[in-house]
Amino acid sequence: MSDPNKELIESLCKNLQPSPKLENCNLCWLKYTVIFLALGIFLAGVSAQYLWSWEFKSDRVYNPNFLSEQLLLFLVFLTSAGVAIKFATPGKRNRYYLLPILLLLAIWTILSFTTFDSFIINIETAHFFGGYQCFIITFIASLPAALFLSYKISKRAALNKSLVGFFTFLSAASLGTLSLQFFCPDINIMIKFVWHIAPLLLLALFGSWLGKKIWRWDQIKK
Amino acid sequence: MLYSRLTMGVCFYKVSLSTDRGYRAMSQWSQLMAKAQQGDNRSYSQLLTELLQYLKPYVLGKVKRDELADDIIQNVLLSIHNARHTFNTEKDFKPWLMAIVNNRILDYWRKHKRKFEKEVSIDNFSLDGAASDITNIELELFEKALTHLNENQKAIFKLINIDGLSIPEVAKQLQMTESAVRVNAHRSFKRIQKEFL
Repeated sequence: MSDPNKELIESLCKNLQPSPKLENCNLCWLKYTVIFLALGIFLAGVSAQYLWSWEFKSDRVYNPNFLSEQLLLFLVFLTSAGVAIKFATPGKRNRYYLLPILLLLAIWTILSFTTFDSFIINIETAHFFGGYQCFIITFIASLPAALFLSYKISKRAALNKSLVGFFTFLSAASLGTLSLQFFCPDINIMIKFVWHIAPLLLLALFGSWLGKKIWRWDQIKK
Repeated sequence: MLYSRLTMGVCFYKVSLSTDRGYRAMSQWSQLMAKAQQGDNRSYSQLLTELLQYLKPYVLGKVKRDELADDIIQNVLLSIHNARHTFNTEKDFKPWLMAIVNNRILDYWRKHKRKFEKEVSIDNFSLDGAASDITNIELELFEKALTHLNENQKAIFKLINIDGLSIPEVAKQLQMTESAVRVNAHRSFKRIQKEFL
């Protein structure tokens, strides 16, 4: 055994403290899901009301296309959060990492075949670029979930930080989009593609960049 | 036919023996880690020492370079230490360990990819004769430049560039602060660069 390795082992063993146990989460994910869903919808509602005076669109909830989209977004939220947590625990088998992406593709397909407002394809440019408002509300509504998940993952050991960041932020952003869709006045296909679905991937990519910066579990702790 | 059956039998015996030994080691490591999670120094030290012996040939087989393997193993030991709370004592130890090891190897390759691509081997590099890339004029210039450095700067230059020590190691050896070593190294580089330009 070479000396540096021996010294390292001695230094690691010197002041060894009992390590904190990982939270055994059986049904706690359900509690967190309800909390963050409620919080996301509340924040989206408040910001939509105060920033642009948008109100809750109650008639929309009877539309099957809308409902299936919301359900798929909810599943994206759940699966990507699960994948992120699994990727952040060494040794856990993670066979379902493609599921959130497949669900996103399913949303894409529903949007492509939907008849819901599909006749308005050619919209005015100013109206189209006004969609940034949706992005801002998505961002606000996804913040609590993003912060909470990032905190939870920092307590684990994310081996592939960029991948964990990707799925963490995809999860939070899908919750944000889900909340937004109850309030957004335009459910035009083009606006949905560009300002509702694409920001999911944009925020997920941002997360994959941020993940490498914020999770420092593999550095030497002084 | 008989020979092939015999060899197959011997191979099977060897494999089963090694997997049995491996299984025993794994279950023992799992128990040692469980004790380490409760703060038992001895078990932890035993575990890390055994892991060191197990990991060395594995990592060396992957990276083929001794000094790299040592660096990676140290990173792996640090990662195991920082992630020890994530090991579930009811589960197998090996998947947990190998997930960390393989990711540390990948990280290392990613981080140093550019460095390895640009690295030139000095094994075939000699200072004498026509094979050398350094001309006599350059050598004279280099020696002249060295005379302009003070003793401290010469020592730092030698330790960093010839002996290949890192800045913290040089600081420890010369009993200086790391920032003082950095400043002196920078000044000596600038001085030598000036002579060449």
